Amino acid sequence: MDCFDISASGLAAQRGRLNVIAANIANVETTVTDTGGPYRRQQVIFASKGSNPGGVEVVGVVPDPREARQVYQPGHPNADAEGFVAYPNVNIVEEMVDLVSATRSYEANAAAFNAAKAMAQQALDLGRA
Amino acid sequence: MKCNLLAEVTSQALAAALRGTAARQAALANNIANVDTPTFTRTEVEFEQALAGALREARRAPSHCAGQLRVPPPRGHEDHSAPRREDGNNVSIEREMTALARNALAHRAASELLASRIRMLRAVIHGNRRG
Amino acid sequence: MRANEIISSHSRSSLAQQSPGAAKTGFSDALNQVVSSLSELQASADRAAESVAMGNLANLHEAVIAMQEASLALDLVVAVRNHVLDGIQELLRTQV
Repeated sequence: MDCFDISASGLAAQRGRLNVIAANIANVETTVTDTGGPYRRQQVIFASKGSNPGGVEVVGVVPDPREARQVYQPGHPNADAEGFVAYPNVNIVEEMVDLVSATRSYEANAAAFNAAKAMAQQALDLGRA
Repeated sequence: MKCNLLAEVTSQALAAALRGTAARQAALANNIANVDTPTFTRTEVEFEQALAGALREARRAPSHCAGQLRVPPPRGHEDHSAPRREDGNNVSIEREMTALARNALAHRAASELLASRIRMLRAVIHGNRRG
Repeated sequence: MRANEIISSHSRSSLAQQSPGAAKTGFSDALNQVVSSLSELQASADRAAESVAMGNLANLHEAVIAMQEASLALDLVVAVRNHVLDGIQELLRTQV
């Protein structure tokens, strides 16, 4: 696996993470889903790929086990017997921090890719007059 | 005249630097790709010490044309000294990025110096006459 | 010996070529100076390049300058050699 593949895997993995964060943010107020109950926050699991150095891959997208947020809203159509509505366990601030981190990681992988490209170019230039 | 034109010690040292920095680029790229992987340990490539040792050895036994520069290939190893986060990962983006920039510069420097040497040899061979 | 000293000694010797007897010593002196300083320049260019290869990037500019000086000195030696060869061929042609 060469440098380009390694950095490409990093870019793909961070892009996958960004997609999941975007879904979390979009669904921050979703109280009803197909499976019943509020939207559960999703998170990605990264793992190193194969032979070292092998890059990285997303091996799973798993729900966050934390409890849903209970908000007292007796008038809401989805309120339970005590008048509580279950909202997703998504914290916007947490998601924004994660978003910034994912963006930085993405940019770092892009920088590594560009460095590899420049090195390959210099190798070609060795023979130039 | 048996000597390979680029076999003399300095050109060999520059070529070894190119191989070493290329290997380091792969390790850094892998560290960066795995910056968010739980329990991941960063890896490092070392070649400068081995190169310095090989250069010292070559200078001790000087021979005219193709002085032997025996440089071992660049070695990668895990770096457990960096501090770990909660998820067990010890990659710091800032550290990898600065190492990446420095390594890219070192690679470019060795590359340009080697290209200059090749041009010089070519000038001697062609007597600097063009056409 | 610096590059500009090499060039000025070279131009002094080309003036001396007008009187053939004195020309020979002036020219070979200049040539010897250039050749010996060339190997000195190449040796210091080698040291500087090896230092960069070992990871000392702080003096990268020194290595590049030393490489350029050695390259210029080499070009000069090659140019002088070419002039000598041309001169010899000229002589051989006239002695028919």
